[in-house]
Amino acid sequence: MTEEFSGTANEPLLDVRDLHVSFALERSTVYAVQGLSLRLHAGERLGVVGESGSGKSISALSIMQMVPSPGRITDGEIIFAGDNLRKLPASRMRRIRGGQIGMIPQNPLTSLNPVLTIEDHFQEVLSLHVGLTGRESTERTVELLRSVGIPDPAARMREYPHRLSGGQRQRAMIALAMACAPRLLIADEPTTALDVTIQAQILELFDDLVANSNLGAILITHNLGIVAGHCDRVVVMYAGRVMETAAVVDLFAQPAHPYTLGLLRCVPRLTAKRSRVFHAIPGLPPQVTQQAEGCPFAPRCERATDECHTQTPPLEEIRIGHSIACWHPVTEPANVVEPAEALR
Amino acid sequence: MSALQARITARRSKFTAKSSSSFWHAAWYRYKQNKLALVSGVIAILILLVAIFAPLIAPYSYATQDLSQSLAGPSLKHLLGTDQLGRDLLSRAIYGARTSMAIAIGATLLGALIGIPIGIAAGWFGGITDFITLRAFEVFTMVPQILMALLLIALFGGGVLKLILFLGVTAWVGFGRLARAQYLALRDRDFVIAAKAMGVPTRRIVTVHVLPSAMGPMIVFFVQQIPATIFTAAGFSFLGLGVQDPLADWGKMINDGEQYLSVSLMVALLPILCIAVATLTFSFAGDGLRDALDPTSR
Amino acid sequence: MSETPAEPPMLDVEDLVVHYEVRGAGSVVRRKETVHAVDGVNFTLDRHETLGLVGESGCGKSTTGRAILLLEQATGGRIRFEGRDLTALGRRDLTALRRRMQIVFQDPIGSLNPRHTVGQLIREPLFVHKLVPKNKQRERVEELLELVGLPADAVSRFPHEFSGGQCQRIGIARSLAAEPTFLVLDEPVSALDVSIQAQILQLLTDLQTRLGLSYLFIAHDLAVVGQMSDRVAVMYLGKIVEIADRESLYARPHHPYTQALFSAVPVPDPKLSAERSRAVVSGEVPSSLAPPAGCRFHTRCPLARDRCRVEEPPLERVGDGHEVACHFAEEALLSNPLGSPLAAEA
Repeated sequence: MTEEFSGTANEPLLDVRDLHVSFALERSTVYAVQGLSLRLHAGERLGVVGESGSGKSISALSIMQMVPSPGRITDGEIIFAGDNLRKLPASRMRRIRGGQIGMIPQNPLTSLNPVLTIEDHFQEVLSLHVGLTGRESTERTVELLRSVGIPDPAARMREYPHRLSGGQRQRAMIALAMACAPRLLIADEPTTALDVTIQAQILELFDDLVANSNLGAILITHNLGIVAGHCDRVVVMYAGRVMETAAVVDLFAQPAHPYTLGLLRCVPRLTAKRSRVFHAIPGLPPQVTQQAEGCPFAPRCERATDECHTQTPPLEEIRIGHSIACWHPVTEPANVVEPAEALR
Repeated sequence: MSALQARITARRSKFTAKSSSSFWHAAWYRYKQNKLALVSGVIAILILLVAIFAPLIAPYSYATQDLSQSLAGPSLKHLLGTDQLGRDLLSRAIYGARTSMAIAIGATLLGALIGIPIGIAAGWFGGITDFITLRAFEVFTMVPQILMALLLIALFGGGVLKLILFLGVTAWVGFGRLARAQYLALRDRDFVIAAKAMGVPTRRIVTVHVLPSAMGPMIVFFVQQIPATIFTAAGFSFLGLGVQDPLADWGKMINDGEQYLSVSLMVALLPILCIAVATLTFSFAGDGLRDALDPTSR
Repeated sequence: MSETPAEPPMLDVEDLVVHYEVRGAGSVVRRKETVHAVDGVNFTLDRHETLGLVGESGCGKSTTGRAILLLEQATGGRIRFEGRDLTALGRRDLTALRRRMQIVFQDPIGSLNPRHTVGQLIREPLFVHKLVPKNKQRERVEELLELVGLPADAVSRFPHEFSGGQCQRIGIARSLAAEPTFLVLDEPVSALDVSIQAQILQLLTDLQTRLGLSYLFIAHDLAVVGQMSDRVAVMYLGKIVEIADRESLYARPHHPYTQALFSAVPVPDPKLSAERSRAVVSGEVPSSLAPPAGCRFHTRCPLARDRCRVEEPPLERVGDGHEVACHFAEEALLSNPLGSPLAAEA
């Protein structure tokens, strides 16, 4: 945040427009992301929800310009703080990665190098992006580790990753992502590998960081409960496309896409008494090996008509800040929890 | 995470295109992609066929002497010339393939038959069985295989059968270690536990449930052992400790030819070429198999 | 629940202890250390009943399930299944009894042998236990596939050709082939996507009704457990800290750890999660190599006093079928920062 951001307050920090990513394999092509558009402002937490294969993680890697081979961004623009990341030379992109964009991975253990101490990891990042070395670097490391709630940081930082518990490792990863005061933080399923009580602690830390540092954050998750508690806006993805995007409060109060509604109904609730009937979405997620016309959710959708199978619905705004891609949106008040289930 | 998944599912769908594709189908598909391995495999099989059908292919017997033609160059009668006793070199090379391959495959097979069951027992049962087996591995590793075989030959003499026996009983350690590692890794896999929970008898779990998964690396190891054994056996024969006259063997042929290098290059060059081709093709085929059976090891 | 005094429970676990030794750290001399995976667990399970077993990783819930199926050697205690003590049975009787207790795994793909076709997988229990004459086996396999909602042509295909949810169906069909009366469901849906989770939970519920099965449902997710279980036991570091009927536990969670688990579950409702206090429990689970003395939760408990550090609380009855292992259970109930999770959302 030392640099000046040329844009005005209304200009988004990150603006992704019509992003396409595909993986050309020997016998087929996987169209992992098919036209993703999203905007993120500073101080905002954006949730990207989807099931496995929805393209949510690939989208995150695309923003970092780190799509694994043989994947390739085939179309679209990624504007970060006024720069089109796709057009940036590799050397400048390297400075942005880890410097202005920080990433929190899903599995902290495999993301930390087992033969380097925690301090070594910080030293590398700090000298590379901020030019801190020696004493300064050590002091900053201690400060960062303390800020994420690791007790006795001066001693802990000399440990190797495997000596730390899962929660502490993830805290260290967060501190590492925050080391160079990034403006954008991307967290890819940051708590999937952790236990629920630790998950709650890590998410609380995430909230505090966003609130205190005025950064933009993208939280990728499959868990709608996490989105409800820790995001301001949400993008629902399915088969590489955006199905619905809205403010979190709107999405949960008035889900307009049948897929979103279906997902909300699937989520097991603490309230429910012993259920005999579970709301499932019938069928299986599609294989994204062809670019077919039509809504990808149509085969599993109870509202689908012929139109849905032949024409792809565009992403259109139905209310201010609430867009969906659906020919037959849900307009009636949504009964996410069945009356019978609402219990007592 | 899903990036990886996309790649994996995509890689999988490559094979599911065929209606019912098994692990072996997929492996064969991958093997075919590797041209060097494919060509090597074909040559290796040709060598095996030549070895098996030697009496039908060879124009003369390995022992037929024609002293008037000793050390002759290539001619229509003797396509590759003759050796110092006037024996047809082509025929001897063909019969040499027979002895060399018999020793190499026989000894490796014997090593596998001894080592794999011991390794399986150690890996599966663990505890004291494993402890004793590990100590046995250490004792056998301490003495180099060649020295051990040399000692046995010195005590009991050479010959094809004895060579197979001696090289076999010294080759079991490699198979034992591999089988142990495989079973140790597979023992706690969910599908093995599932079989236990179903009440499948131990003998059946070990053979029907675990063996197919452990098979790949063992096949690879088997094929990769063959060139090494060809070499060792040839070495013994070259030293005059292995195959005895009048039987043909590549190693012994080099020994014979070496003395007449100034007269005829072919006598020594031919068996050297044979050994080179055989070891190279089996090595490349083994590497190809490794890549095909375990695509993650690359 | 519906316990008639005449009939003993289908499953009775008494004082189950599972310890195992691991080689400890240390570069030269490696001491052997003992993992206290399960440390004195008691519960019963009736016919047609589902008991949920909840806890975080390393609490011993999976080990408990596996020890009951004799897949893990119990160090102590007794397991009675259908009135017979499994630890005292001969091999022959054991094989017959074990068939009636089966397991469904967390990893749907890893639990299926990759080299066997679906047909081979499901036929295995039929073959091993000679349940069906050979000429009827194919018919029975197809019947089982239909029961779990898979097409008959799956028979000749391999597990990797199916999705996670479908593999879980195959695993369930294989378990059912042994004609069990009791299933250990070891996190059966936690590896699946939400939309698929509900399908599998529905299948398990329907099968229970149809076949009269008993379930031990192991999970880390209180929401899923609540939907599936009649009774719920909460485990922490190898011990049950609270066990109760589901309604009772969800309405009046006594143990501070149970309350912490409830508060940590993300609720898919923005208003509610904003209202909920952020009083999450601090710290992490201590190592099961050296569990804390006294109450094992005292290192993280907001209510911990001196007594908790020395004296281990036994499981004590606080209501009808509701037992809690906490010295200050009443106080904990009143101080619950959440109120009742049920009341909160109703």
